[in-house]
Amino acid sequence: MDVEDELRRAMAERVADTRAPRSLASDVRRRHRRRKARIRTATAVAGASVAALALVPTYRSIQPAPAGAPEGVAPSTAAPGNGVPERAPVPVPSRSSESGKDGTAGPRTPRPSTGAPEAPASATPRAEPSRPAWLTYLPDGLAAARPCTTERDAARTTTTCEWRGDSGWVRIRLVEGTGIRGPEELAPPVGVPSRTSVRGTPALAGAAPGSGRQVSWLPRPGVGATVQAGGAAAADLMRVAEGVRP
Amino acid sequence: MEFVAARGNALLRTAALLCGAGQDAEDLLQTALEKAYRHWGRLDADADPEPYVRRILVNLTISRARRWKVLREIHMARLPETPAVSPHHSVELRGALMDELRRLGPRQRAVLVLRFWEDLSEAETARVLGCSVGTVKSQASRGLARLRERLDTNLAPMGG
Repeated sequence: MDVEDELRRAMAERVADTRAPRSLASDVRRRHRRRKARIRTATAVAGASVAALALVPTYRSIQPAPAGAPEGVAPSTAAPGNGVPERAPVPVPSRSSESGKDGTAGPRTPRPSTGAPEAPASATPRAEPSRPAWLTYLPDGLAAARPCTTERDAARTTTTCEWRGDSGWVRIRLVEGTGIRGPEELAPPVGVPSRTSVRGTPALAGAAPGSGRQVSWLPRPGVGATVQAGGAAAADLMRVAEGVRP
Repeated sequence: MEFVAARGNALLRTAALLCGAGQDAEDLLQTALEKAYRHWGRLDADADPEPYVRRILVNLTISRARRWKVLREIHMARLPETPAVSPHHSVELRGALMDELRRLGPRQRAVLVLRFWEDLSEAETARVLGCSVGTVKSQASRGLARLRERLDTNLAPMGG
């Protein structure tokens, strides 16, 4: 048996009825057009995705201040449409220029530097936020009573900031360190504390030693925060607490 | 596209033999022609485009066979059909030959199709496949030996 000849015959027999369809040429052209359209679509989708990815951070950067920020905006600086995020106006005390060089840095990034009002960078007066970067809200009419102070011991770093004004006072204490297990360890309130929450985190509220009210909670593991407020500012205690983002 | 009108049948038959399944052949040929159409500018104006298209066809067949290797293996895992004694021995023989051809690897099958269907020389086959003449010789020899061996096994009950 000659396999080669049999194979030839078998192949001829098998494809004897095979005919290319009349539309083969047009089918090929259509396939080519479809392929080009597919490539164009894929390119457009990829381009749109890249553009969207590029625009999301831009959109976020021009978003206004986070929830809990005050409604008031300094009219001289935050003109509509100038792209500057809205900030609460806080009065700048006269001795603010000496702040920032005393080593009273805040607990962690973003570094609040001193937490005290900062001097303007240029001669042109601009309404720079005069509170630490980790604080997004302070009631109107308060000014820094003194630069934030930082105390360090072996286990903990404590940063204390205080603002005073006609509308009362606000004091914030941030404690960073190991072994902070709960808000009850931060600043025991006077009397029986009540349980509340700050941005979903369990907190203890009660009367502050001396006068005013206070609330303590752990914004994140290893960091404790206590906000005390007195006078009219005590009404804004929880709002100030919500604005503490160490 | 006069080329397609003139050589469409021959190319489709080659494609059918290369891929072993009639329904895939048309799709394979369309893909090969579309690819050739895309790069038509690379061809010399007075050169015959058929070897170029044939080469695309062979390459596509081999790549597609690799991609569908798992399915092919499942297909081949079926038990062989028991041959029935038939008075039309030569018809059975050719049918068995085509079945065995389909079971060869894509490269070996391409060598046999190009050598015995397209009647290409060993050198031309080597050019289409992008391999050496020695490889073509050995692949053709092994392919034929395999066909012979399987035919002897399968057709023995028929007295072949």
